[in-house]
Amino acid sequence: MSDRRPVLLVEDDSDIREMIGDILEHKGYNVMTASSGQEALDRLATPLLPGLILLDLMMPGMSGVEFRKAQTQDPRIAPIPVVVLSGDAGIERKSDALGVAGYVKKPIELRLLIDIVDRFCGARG
Amino acid sequence: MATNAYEARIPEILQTLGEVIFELDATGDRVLCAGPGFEALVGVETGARGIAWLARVVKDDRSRFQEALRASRVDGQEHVVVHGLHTRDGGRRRVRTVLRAMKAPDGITFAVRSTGIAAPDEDLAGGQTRLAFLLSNVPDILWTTDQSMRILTSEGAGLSILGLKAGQVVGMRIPEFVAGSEAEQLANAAHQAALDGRATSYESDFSGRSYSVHVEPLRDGAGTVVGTIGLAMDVTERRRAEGALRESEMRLRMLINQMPDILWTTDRDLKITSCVGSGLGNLGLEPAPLVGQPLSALLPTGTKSDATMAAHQAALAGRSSSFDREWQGRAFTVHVEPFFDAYGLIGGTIGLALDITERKRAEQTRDRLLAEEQEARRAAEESEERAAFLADASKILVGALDFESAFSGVARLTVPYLADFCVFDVLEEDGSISRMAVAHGESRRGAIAQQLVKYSPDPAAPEGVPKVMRTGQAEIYTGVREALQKIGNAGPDQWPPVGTRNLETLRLLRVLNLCSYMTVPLVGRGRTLGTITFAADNEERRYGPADLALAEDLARRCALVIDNARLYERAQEAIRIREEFLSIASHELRTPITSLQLAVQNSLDMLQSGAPAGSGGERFARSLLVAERQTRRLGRLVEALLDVSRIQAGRLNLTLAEIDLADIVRDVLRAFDGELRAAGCALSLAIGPAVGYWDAGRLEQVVTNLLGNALKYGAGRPIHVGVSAVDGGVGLTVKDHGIGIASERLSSIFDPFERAVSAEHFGGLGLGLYIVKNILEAHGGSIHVESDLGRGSTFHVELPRRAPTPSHPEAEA
Repeated sequence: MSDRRPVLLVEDDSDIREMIGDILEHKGYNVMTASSGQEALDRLATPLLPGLILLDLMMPGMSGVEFRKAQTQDPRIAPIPVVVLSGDAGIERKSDALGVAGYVKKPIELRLLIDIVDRFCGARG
Repeated sequence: MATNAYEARIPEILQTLGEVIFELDATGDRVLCAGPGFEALVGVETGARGIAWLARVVKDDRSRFQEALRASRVDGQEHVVVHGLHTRDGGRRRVRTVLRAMKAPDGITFAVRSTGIAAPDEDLAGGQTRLAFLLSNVPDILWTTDQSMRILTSEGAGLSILGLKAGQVVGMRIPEFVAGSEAEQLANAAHQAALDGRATSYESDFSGRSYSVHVEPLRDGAGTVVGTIGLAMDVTERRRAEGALRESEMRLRMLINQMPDILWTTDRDLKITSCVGSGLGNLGLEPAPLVGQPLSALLPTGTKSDATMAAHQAALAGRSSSFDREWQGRAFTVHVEPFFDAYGLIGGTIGLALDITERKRAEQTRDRLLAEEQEARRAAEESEERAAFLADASKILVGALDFESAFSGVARLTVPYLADFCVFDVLEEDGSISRMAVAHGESRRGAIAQQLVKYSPDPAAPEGVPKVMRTGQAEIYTGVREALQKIGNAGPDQWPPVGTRNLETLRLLRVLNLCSYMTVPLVGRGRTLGTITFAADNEERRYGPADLALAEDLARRCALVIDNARLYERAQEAIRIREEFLSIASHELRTPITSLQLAVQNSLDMLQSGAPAGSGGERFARSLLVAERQTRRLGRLVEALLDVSRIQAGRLNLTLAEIDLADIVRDVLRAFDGELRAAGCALSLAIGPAVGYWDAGRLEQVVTNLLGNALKYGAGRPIHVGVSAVDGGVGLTVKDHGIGIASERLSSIFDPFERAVSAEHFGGLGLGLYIVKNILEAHGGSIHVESDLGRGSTFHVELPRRAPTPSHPEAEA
């Protein structure tokens, strides 16, 4: 399990956060959670960086878009791939504008989410 | 024919008749002037003014001649003298002289005409033969009588006309001959006078014919009266001719009396001697009383330079003239000419006034109709020009993509047709004024005029564009140039009414030589949307009602363009809000569905990977709890959407019962307990009993929404909730210390789909406060908010004790 990199889940809805956290932990991932962009940046201040950031866009305080801007301006964390989770109808256009690795549309198809996480954070080799 | 042409023929006429005319002085002694033939009569040079006359009259006849002079002086009539005359060669001849006294510039003189009637020194036999021949050929009768008036001789063809022979008459006495005839008295008197030495003439009818009779004394060689000699000239034909002439004259007079004109004559003193014409009646005058009156009785005469007097004076000096004159409301053309008497002398004036009133009226009517037609044509051309101008403007307005470029085009079109420069000002929705589209006909000044765009008028200015924007009434200002000159040396109260005190704008207007301007409102659907100002830089252009009407017509068309553009903007905004709402709604619905789906998939996953036992049981229960919570959340969202639909359809029905608002608040706070603690918000309460007659479910919705917002936007800071009785009802206060609401958003937070913050940071449908407000209003209550950005918001709710229930009276039971 130790060769799996953690996942950072940035989501303001506590139920979604809890459910995804439960599922991914059950799959053997170390899940870091944050309920806003600012909280996510705080989490990323630690030496242990996640292999993937799952990012909700609409959040109080610092939004997903603002977080992504701050992230790309910090070379230390800029390379971390980001996958957007959003129910927004314009998710594809917004994801392109943010230059992220991809997006998953809400409601989330669990298998797709696990596949993505496996691809970015799964066992090396 | 000119009078002078007749005058030229007078000598010839006189010579043909053998008559000589001349003028004698007051005593008859001297000849003052003489016509042709005088030389032949007396054997002197013509024009030898001053020659003796009375001395030439033979001595025997001289006293009779003097008597005739005296008589004419007294009665002013013609007197006839047959007398002998000494000729220059020492001979004598018989002359018949007619004389009449006349008034000459220097006193009384005599007009005289003489005709030689016989030459006593001629051969008597030859003379008698010739006389007999002559008498047998003229229709006259010549006779002589003795002192007893017995006829001695009688000659002439006239006898045979009367059916008599000389022999029948000779021997009869005159009184016998004329007894019983019309001539009886006159004939007897004349012969008696002749016997008394006096010549007499008379006219009388005799035996059906008319005669002019002359009776003279018959003298012997010593001059003693021995009888009479008489001549009766048959004037029957002349009388007939005269009668015809009189009739013709009468007809002429009648004709003149029918004419609307006036004909008059005056003497040399300009006293009226005759006056005819029905025109007199139009002036309220009668001809008879005018005769003898001065000219002013007929014609109004003013000063000496007056045309009437001048024309009459000119006529007395021999000149004709004409003039036009208004006369008691009627128009006349007056001709005045000299009036020549029988001797070709100017005896007075003759005037003719032609009444041209009707002609003048006809001319005036014609002129008026002509002017009206020209005016109508001008108006038609003008109206055509205006229609073409409006059509061009409409083409520009319809063709332009936005109203700014449309107005630039229209502004250019107005120069120079309606203005020398043109400015459009648009009233923005925030009350400010945007200046656009300045056009000027002259390129040099055009660049200056363009600078005016930089200086929008002050909306609060008392005059000019801002005033028209406020009142919606067009205004025309003149005399601006003078007012512009005063800037600097007069107080601002005398500055021009151009809606600005900006010295730079005023300087530009002075450079542009602004003289006058007309500002019309752009009015669309009853609201003033802006103004168009048409300005003139020269005094010739004067704005009047016609320009104003055209400008207002143009303004209506332009206003329509602004109005349409704004409506389009609003429609676009409404579409944007709707799309944003759909986007938010889809997000809001997807969030619980996402949780729900994850919970269900998680549960299924656990069931598939083994029974949810032990620690797995706890995870399983958590999933079910999430599913249950999110199902309720979905239900609330759907309910909120349904509420909007109910509110907009007016079907927000209340189920009223007696409840205590404090209980509801406590229940809601209990439900929020977990969230409050999770958010770390301290809660302070001031809740007293507040019993009323309300819909419990709806009030719970209100409290939930307000508390939910306080939690959502409260930034984790303390929240205060108060319930208390207020005057006539109860009050509910929810106060947070969170992010607050920007003042410009305060007015719209109760509108549907509105939120005071960006949807990127805060979820929610943006319907909560809209529903809250409508629930409270359905209860007869109200809500308002106080807020400082960054320092929190306070919502105040007021409710009457009993909600009005007009549509459901049974709920009160």
